Amino acid sequence: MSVLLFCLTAMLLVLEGTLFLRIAFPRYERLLCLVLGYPVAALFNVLLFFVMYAVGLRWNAEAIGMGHGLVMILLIGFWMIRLSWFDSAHHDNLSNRQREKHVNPSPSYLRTGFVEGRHAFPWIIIGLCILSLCATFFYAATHALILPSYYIDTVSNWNLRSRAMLSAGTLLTEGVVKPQYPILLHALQMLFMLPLERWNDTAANAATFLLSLSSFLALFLLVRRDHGAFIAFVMVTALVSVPLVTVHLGQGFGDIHLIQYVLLSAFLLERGIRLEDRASIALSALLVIASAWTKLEGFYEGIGFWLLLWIGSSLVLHRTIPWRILFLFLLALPWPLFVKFHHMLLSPHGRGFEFHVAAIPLALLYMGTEGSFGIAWYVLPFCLLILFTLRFLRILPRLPVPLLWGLLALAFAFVIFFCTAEVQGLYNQESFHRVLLVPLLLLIEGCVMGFVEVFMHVAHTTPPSS
Amino acid sequence: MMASSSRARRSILIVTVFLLCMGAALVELFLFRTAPDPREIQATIVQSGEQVTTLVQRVLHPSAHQDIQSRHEVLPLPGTQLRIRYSAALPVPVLYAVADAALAQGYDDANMLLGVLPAGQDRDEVLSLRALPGWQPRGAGAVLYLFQRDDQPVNLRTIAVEDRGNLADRVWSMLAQLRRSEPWQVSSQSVLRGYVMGGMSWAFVLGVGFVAVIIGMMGVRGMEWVQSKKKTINSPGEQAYGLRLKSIVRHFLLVIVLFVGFYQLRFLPDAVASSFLQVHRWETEHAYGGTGDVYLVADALRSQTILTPGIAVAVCGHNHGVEAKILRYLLFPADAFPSEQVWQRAAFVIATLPEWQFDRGEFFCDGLHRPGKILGRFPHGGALVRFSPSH
Repeated sequence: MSVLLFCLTAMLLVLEGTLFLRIAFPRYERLLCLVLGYPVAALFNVLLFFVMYAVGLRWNAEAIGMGHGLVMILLIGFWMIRLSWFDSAHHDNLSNRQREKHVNPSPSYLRTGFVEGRHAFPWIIIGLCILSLCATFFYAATHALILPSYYIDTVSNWNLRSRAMLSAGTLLTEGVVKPQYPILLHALQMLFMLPLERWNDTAANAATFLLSLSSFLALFLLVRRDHGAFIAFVMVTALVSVPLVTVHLGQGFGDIHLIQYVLLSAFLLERGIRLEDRASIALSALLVIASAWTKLEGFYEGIGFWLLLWIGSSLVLHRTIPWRILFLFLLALPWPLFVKFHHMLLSPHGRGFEFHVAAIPLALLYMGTEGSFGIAWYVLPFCLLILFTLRFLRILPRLPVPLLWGLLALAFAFVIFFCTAEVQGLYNQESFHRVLLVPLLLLIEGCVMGFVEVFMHVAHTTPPSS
Repeated sequence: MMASSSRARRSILIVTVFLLCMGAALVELFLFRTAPDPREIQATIVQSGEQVTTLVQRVLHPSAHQDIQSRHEVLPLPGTQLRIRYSAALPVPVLYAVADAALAQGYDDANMLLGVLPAGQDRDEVLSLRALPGWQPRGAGAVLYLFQRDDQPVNLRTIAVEDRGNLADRVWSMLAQLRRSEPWQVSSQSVLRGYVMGGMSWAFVLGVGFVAVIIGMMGVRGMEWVQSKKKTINSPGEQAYGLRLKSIVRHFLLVIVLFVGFYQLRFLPDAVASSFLQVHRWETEHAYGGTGDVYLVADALRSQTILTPGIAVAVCGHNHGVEAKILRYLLFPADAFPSEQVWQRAAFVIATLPEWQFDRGEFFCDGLHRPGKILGRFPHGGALVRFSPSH
């Protein structure tokens, strides 16, 4: 019975997200909308929980159920209107589609020259990627779905806070650890618990595991859509094969979900800027807003850098900036306002600025010798060197957004660890490795996209000396 | 086309010869190993501080008025084994490690070995240093902890570092360090320690190898480029240039795949194996990590009592701070605390220390006692007790 109720709740969320995506972004394929539906619906869910709290309603099955019901009715209404509009404006739509085809080039245009001919090499790589992904998700699934919650952060912060708020039926600002943290994951876990009537640890972890699974699958589909299955396999494998990411996919921490939203958002922002596609930019904005509702870092590393890169790229490329997209960021504002209203810090860590020179060699030592990152920090500098050189030689037309985002996030992380009291998280290794995952994964995503660009453009390149 | 095909064949040949040479070297190393010292004491890798405490308690059986002392010796390397001459009335639990790791990272970092020296007069035993996860022929030093009861001290005559075995033994020992599993931590998985080979981090070894290969490749490619530039200085050809650049980037990516693959080849089987192990343990014993009976006891308490806010549960265990946090989540809305904080006002006590006692209606645990009733005993030695109301 619990499994059935869990599946029904998940289906409700997927349907909600899918309907929204089909209405708002009709160019996206059904499968992509279906997979991306869950992460997007998680954002609507947290907004619903917050609105309920703001209007003084308790978080119980009836109120939340009615809220989601209302959202579904609205979405279905919009869907019907859209369908009837589609019938009446069929002709216009066809011409629109033709125009969109121009904006959204066919995959064959974007497929790279990496896989050529009928060599066995790409198939060997794809085989290895599948093997690696199976092992990674096996580890993650066993830890999320079979083994109980165990990690200290899970039992004293993430899951305990959800459980306490579910029991209280409202948002708690006292009696919980780090009450200033946003509540996307908590709202998601609580939603699954409401029909079950009592807390279920497996269901709580399964709800967030589904978020991880759908996010990485969505990223795979997005990459495949633009660059083909080979690059999609390589990118997703490169991202989840960082050993600490494999471990975090077993759930229990919020960082992995922040990372997923940021990765999806960065890919879509890059796509939007590259193809001047406003729909991709709007969806990217929604996803980065979701990252800000997941963890406080999402405000700084997510929304802050998103705006910087979007406006910066538009100015550099002399594009008109669709300012209307900024209205979407109103969806991210309630939480910081709530935090300030309750006189809490917009950071779980203390204030103060002091340079810690001794932390620098220690950070480099951890990055180079511990097992959290494998050999990623040896590989990335060479990738960056090559990509920057190719950019300097104008072989690479421009650096991908995720790469720049990753560099900004890395600089931000270093400032946090070298110049604030957060250095303790480096000395005792409690947060350093986790925090570094955001820039690391963005850099990996950016490097893969950078090399794809290189393979796309290199055949049409002339030697710099000529 | 012909040129690329012959280059591919040459590459395959070089890789095959390289792999065959490596295989032959490994076989040779295996065959030339010497037999271990017959006096060598078997030792196991430490996974947690709890493991050490449990073994010391089990071997020395201290009573309430007997303290356990630990003494430690720091010994210089190089060497492959510690030779100890001693007399002891009781067996002697020993803990030893490479000095740096032991001093910097403590018990939790599975870089230590734990063994038991047998009791007896004028014993002459050997502890293998080569079995240490981080052993190097020229390491900084070794540290040895000996545990003894204060009423039965160990009479330590001599302790010396000895060099034994041939080159094959040393190399094989260093390679064998890679077999050691990732020390999956008990409290928080914010960091992975990684693997060790030759006393060095496997990530570091592979990373340096990667850097060396890339620099070598850049040198070779650079020379090729200069030569081709000389030959075709007047007709560089756009297509040839593009193809050459593509080929360089492709080789670079291939090296990345190889080296990342090497790391994954060690990490993923370990992660999958640990999953199987943990799931099997959970399915059969209902235990996870180092918490013993915690999940079983929590289930038992929830099934026997309706937990309401304000109910306090005392936790009496080795690592009761961590256990209390887990139980606070499992028993919500009741609250769980380390025993010394709530002993008098607690309604229940969960004992995960196997040394608890129950005598004439009085429950004793870790120096504390209070009247109560045992509600359940659990496979790992844990107990659930309802306290009688305090007067």
